[in-house]
Amino acid sequence: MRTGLKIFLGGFLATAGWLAWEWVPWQLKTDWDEEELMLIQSLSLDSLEPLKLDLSNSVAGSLEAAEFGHTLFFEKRLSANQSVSCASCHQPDNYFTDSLPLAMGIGLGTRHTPSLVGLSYSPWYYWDGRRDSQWSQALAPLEAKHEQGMDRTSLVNFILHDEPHLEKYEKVFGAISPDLKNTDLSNSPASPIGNSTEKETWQSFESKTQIEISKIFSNIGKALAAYQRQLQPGGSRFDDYTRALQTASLREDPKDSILNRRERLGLKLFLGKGNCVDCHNGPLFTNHEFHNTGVIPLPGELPPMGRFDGIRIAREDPFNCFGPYSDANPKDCAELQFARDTSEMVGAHKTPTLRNIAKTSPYMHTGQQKSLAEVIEHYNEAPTAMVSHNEAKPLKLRRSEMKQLEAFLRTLSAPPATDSVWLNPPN
Amino acid sequence: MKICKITKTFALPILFLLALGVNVNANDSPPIFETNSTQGYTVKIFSSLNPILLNQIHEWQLSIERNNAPVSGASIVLTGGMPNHDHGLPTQPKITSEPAPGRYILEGIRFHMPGLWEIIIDISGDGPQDTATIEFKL
Ligand code: HEC
Ligand code: HEC
Repeated sequence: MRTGLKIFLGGFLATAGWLAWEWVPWQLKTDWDEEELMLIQSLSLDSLEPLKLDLSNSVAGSLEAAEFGHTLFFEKRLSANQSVSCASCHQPDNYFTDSLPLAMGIGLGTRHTPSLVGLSYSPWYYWDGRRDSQWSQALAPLEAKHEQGMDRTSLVNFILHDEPHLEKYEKVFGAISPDLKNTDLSNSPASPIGNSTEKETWQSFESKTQIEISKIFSNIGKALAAYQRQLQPGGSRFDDYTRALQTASLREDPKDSILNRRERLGLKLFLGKGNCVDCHNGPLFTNHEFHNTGVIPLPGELPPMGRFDGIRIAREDPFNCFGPYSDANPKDCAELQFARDTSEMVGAHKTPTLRNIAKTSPYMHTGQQKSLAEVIEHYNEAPTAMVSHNEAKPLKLRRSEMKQLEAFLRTLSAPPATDSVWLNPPN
Repeated sequence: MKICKITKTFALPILFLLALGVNVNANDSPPIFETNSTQGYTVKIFSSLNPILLNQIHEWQLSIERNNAPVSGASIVLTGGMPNHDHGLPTQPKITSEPAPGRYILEGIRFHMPGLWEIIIDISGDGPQDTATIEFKL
């Protein structure tokens, strides 16, 4: 009887102690030291520099190109089955994502659809960085069989014969040569990267025609990039807080501030114990770099090589910064020229932005993590990577801290700071 | 612009100097880093981006001297990383030219994380082979 009671009491105390350790928010102070204040300001949208021109795309800053790109972005006729556009997967109402683990175009894809908001700041595109500009990226889904499944010749043929598109095209890029206009390209699907018949047909074209078609194709990408540059992030509650912090009186644990205590504690963890700011830094919460974070591949799949393969593909892409369709001077291609390609890049993926993160589930390159809680659990454990090594280390956060971190991540949402015209299909 | 604030002035051991140069081309502006190697090389670094900002690719100019004379025609290899995270630089910067004796242009340098960085400069040529190191906090 006595021993029974002792065991009961002991068990009760142990459980109560554990629960308190895990769930009571022990760390109650949220005043900031100088280093934290600097980091917080560095994450603010106020620190976002104006978007630089993309020297490989001479129409990157042109409004007319953006308008043309706007129509292309929503144009379903740029797909083999006339029913998929960029906007089918990059949905404006979903921060340009699709809420699916794996993208669905003409067929099922192998990667999760990333957001496009604020993306134009990145020197690299795709989870594995296999494209070095936003315009060269835009060309890939048009021709990918599981996405829009067109071939570049039919695509160019469509532009040539659709009056409104042709007019917009020529306004931005100048007149298309009468020679090409008089060439009959209908019913001759052809592309250097298509299926075997498409490749054969492509080979049968004169090289002058090949170059002209690829040139128009690359210009389509340049207009699509100009449009996407309009998609900029809006100020969130977190940004309001960074502005309020510039007033000294608000720095010390204000009772009633724009972020509540739990969110502020989460911010502290984000900057400190969580190490999140190592990679999710700057006003877009990304360093645009590639890291191996030990994300477990989908069941039955081999772990992808990530950036290790991505940089090799980017170097061989005929539409890269050094290529004949780029408008850049080779000396402006520093990112491509000096990119790291060593074994550190095995299994590394591009750090995604965390702006609007609460609105863009599921997460990671194959959408394998469903919720923010699951993501934080992942970082807390930092599992051993299946290829190369996980750069993130186990965090040993308590339950209460994990909730705080999640609460902070939820303060980063805001509608894009973009005229609503760009967020709707053109009329 | 405010990102520059996180390049908190480099608080590291004073033997590694720090300064406020302005332009990589302005030879009279002070270097952003300066260090001496055991074999007597003095390496001064001028940055096209000053202060250094996170996530921006830029250029350095290295001035290398030994016994008060420029060291020209040397083969210079710059590597680096974060000693507290087991990883290197995010890019593979390279010396691309030597516009004046002992003055080397390094292209393609970028830093992608706040924290302690270590840069190792390997010098080999007519003089003794040696390594100079710089540490700084971003
Ligand atoms: C079938 C769905 C689908 C369609 C259609 C589609 N995308 Fe994507 N998009 C994706 C997926 C999935 C990824 C990530 C693929 C990867 O990294 O391998 C992606 C990646 C991107 C990226 C790079 C994102 C990053 O973070 O680097 C951009 C930019 C982009 N798409 C723009 C476009 C444009 C422009 C179009 C139309 C020409 C388009 N997409 C059509 C699903 C789609
Ligand atoms: C070593 C760099 C690194 C660190 C540290 C890091 N992340 Fe990440 N984060 C990444 C990379 C890379 C990905 C994409 C991984 C993938 O898909 O394989 C990612 C993905 C995410 C995603 C999913 C984004 C999306 O759109 O799918 C969230 C949320 C996230 N990180 C939050 C955090 C939080 C919170 C922390 C701190 C606890 C953190 N990260 C620390 C690099 C990092």
